[in-house]
Amino acid sequence: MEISAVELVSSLVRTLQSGSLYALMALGLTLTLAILKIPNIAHAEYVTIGAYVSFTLINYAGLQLWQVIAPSFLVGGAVAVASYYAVFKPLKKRGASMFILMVASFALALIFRHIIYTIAGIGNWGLGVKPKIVTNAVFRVFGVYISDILLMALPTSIIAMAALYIFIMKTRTGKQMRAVAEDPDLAVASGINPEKIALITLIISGGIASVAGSFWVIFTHAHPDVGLEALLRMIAASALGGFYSYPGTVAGAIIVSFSENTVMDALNRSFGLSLALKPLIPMAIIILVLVTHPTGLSGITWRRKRTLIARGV
Amino acid sequence: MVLDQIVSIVISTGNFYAIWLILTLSLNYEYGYNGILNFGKVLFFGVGAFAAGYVVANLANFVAGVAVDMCSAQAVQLRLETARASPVFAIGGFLLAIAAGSILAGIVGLLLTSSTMRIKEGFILGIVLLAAGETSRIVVRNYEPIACGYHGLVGIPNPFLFVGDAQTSTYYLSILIWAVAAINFIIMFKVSRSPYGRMLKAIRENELAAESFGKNINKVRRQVLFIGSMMSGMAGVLYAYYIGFVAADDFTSLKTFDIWVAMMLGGVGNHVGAASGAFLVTVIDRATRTLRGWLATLNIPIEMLYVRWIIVGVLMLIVLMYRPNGLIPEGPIRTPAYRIFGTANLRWSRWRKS
Repeated sequence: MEISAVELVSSLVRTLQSGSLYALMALGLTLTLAILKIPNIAHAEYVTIGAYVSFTLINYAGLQLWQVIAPSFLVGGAVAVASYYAVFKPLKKRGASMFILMVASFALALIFRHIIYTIAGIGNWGLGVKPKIVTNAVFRVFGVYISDILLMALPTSIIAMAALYIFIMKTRTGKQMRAVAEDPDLAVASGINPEKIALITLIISGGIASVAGSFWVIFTHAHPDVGLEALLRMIAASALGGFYSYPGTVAGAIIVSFSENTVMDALNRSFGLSLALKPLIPMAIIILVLVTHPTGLSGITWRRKRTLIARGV
Repeated sequence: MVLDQIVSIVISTGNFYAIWLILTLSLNYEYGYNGILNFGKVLFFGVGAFAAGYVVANLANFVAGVAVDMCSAQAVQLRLETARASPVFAIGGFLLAIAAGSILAGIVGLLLTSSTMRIKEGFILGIVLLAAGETSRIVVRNYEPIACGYHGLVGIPNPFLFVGDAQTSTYYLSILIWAVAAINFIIMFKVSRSPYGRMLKAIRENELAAESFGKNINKVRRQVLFIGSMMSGMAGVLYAYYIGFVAADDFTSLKTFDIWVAMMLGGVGNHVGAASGAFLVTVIDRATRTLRGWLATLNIPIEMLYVRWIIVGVLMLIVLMYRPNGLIPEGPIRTPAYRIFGTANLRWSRWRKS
């Protein structure tokens, strides 16, 4: 079966919609990995926490979606900072390797997720419930619906990404963060306080993951596993970017989202591939990228490729 | 009545302990002895379990000479009937499943992990294997012919069903599971004390030094991975036979984490420690499950299945922070040379201090 132009465009709209949120989630993962050298699997739980903050505030306090952005940023950042001081800092002080930090963050993720499960189970609320938000189709361009949620989520994430980029590249603190990422010992020797940098990094990464979660919950439903479902996607985005590059992570998120929506639709139409295999795509990306080309997109030297192409190789 | 309950609790705890013991020993063999960061253990465990289900279901069809869909209720009935009627099918199927499951898991482990072994950064390898484990779970869940997809393959017959009573056949199966676990433990214990075990530790400590002594590191790694994955596959077969069905959603990465907790808690690079760690994890698992029933009768809405993971996670963090070598840390290997020179060295240093 052929795909009509309308379906193609609407799948591209979905690509943008989820891709921008994946980028927000994955940027925090890349930041903590690049600056603090912590492969933080518990990052997925900040998404869940944001989702639940947004869900409770919308359903039980009657707030609008734009009003929950600030609270979820604050809660997510606070949880991230707390997990750093409770777990990662003592472990780093004892000289734990990155793999051990990963195992510890896995344990932390389990604790967070099951605390949410327990609380949601006691009151028997918030297990697979949709937030009470009506999605309106604002525009209808040639049969492609564009909802007001998308019109809010997309600019928010683009502004957040742009602000983060300017913050890291232009400000003094951002320069210090890049210095710590490059060489922690040298950064300390030149008078940078690593604790301050760690604090800022964690507030930003936990906060934006949480904001992304508070939008993400509108498209799915409130469940303690929403972060877990997003985890492999954001790892895939980060791996595609080569784990340490911010523009690469954004590009990776768009690629993951594109292959999940548009490519998956096309495969479903032409080969009858079940849509339930959708989670397979980020995992296939992770395994392929890390096994064949571990440096990802950032490892490709574009200039050399261009000259090779120009030479006709 | 109470005695029956106690006996059944003891037997189920014992069987789960035996299965966990095999898994923990295999991880300890890979990580504790050779430093291989295998964060996808559940994949090999699952391969064994699915292979067991697949072999038994198809063998029943073959023996009975009919071709029913292996997921249907009719096929379940057929399997149980055939196992009750013919001891050859029951025992033979079990042996075939053990062989197929462990060898298949070994091959999968060898192929997958040796292709990812060239990733030098530990956490990247961990993420790759984690993703591979989840991938296999999703494939099995959505691809019907392996293990009936979402619903799982029900009715794997107990290999001793022909003795008649269900209770007695469970006892026989428990003895069998225990025997397999004991054989695994003895072999691992012997290997860890042999020159081969010391070579594994040497490679773990310093690859370059071991290579300069003429050890082929990649070959040894492949051997270790094959044996370790085989053991996990064997544990998977026993698990499938004991609980009687296989479902894809049983094999999440939480199982991997459980095995890691058992090993880290007990002692890295020390089989006695790993065995005690596995015991603690099994006891936590069984105790929370028993407690869950009581809480449900008392109408307390705390779900112990979730609390269990909080306990395990906190335990893992405590171990990583305060006892990074586990409860029973790895000691020196007591070779004859150590007995002579090790103690002499000690005496000499004491003498020099005073």
